[in-house]
Amino acid sequence: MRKKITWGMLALAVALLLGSTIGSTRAALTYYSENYVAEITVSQIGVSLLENGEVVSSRDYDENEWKVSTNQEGGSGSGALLKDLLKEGEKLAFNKRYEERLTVKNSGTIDTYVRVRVYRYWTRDGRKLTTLSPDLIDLNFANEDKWVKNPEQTAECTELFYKGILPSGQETEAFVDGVRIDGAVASEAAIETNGNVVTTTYKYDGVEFHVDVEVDAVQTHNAQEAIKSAWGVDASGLGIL
Amino acid sequence: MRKIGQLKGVLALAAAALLLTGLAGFQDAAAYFTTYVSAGGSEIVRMGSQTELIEDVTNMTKHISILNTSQTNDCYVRVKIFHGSQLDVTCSDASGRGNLWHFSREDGYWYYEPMVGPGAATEILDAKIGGLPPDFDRDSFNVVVIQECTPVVYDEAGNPTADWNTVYSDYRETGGEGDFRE
Repeated sequence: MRKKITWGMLALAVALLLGSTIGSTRAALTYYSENYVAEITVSQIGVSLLENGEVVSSRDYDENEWKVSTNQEGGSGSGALLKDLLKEGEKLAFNKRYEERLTVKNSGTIDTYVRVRVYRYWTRDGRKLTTLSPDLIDLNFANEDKWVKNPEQTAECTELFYKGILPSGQETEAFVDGVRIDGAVASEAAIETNGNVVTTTYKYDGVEFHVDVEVDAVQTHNAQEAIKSAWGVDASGLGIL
Repeated sequence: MRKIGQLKGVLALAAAALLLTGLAGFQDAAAYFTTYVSAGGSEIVRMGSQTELIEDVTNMTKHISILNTSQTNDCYVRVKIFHGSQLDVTCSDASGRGNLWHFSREDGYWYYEPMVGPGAATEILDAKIGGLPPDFDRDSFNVVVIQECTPVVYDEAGNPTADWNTVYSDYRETGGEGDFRE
């Protein structure tokens, strides 16, 4: 008798689970069917990163495949920034503000919400240098009324959310419009005098500053949940919807 | 044997339930359209300077010039002249324009206005030594020139300038742990 009850309960549980799954499937099918009919291009999401008006990297879904293009030769999936920071023969100068206008374009056919992450750090001989502050790589974050900073940012990573929907084909205001290397990077030096020759050797000679950018876009439909799922943040709480 | 068969049946049902539950979750996770791009760039910061003081003496006048022997970096230079109180030393700008060297009464330095490029030298600053007593040994006098240089920085208006207020702190090549992170 007990076995019969056990088997009966197990069968009931499976039946209930199956029923609930079919319900979800049916709901999902209905949900997508309606959208699919209404918007035949619903899946053509796309995003591009622009530097001083030129596309450096884009990834668009088109004709059932991802189309990725960058300004780098060799088919790298990541674009190249700062290539034209210095003119030919020009040397990097401290405290000089160089134009570095970074924007995002919606290169897909559906509207999106956009997030960017900007990383800045120092390396020497390919290894990350932690004794130099990322703040000495002075990026000028612009249009702060349109780009909401995540308050939980670190010195190395700044996370910005574009406020509101970025319509298909539209470009954002710049989230960064300039870069400057603080002269404080040259504040530690050894000065050696040998006869009439004075040699100044700087502690951080040869270090390399880096600026990396990641751009993410997500659909606007069911935005609150979509953003929570994709980025793990509360979009309403951040005021970006 | 019958028990084993029953156990297998229960296990199969449980596995089916797990699979269905997993599929139900997958539907939700895959429901949102997203895309992304990335880009990065870097630039090497070259620092370091080497300057050489060049002094020629003719007719009790020191002709002073600073040569920037760096291969890569521009710099600004200044000099200070020390001498005994019995000597009367008068400095004058001997450059073609006549206004490239400027004296600061505040700190006693002579500042060379233009930046000095790699391999380039300043124009001449003359230091004329006068007020010499008749028995003065003209082959042995003590007028010392101190030279300093500083890298080119830019002000808020974007103009190149020199920051002579930088206080350099000495450093040692430690190469110790903590400088780097993989």
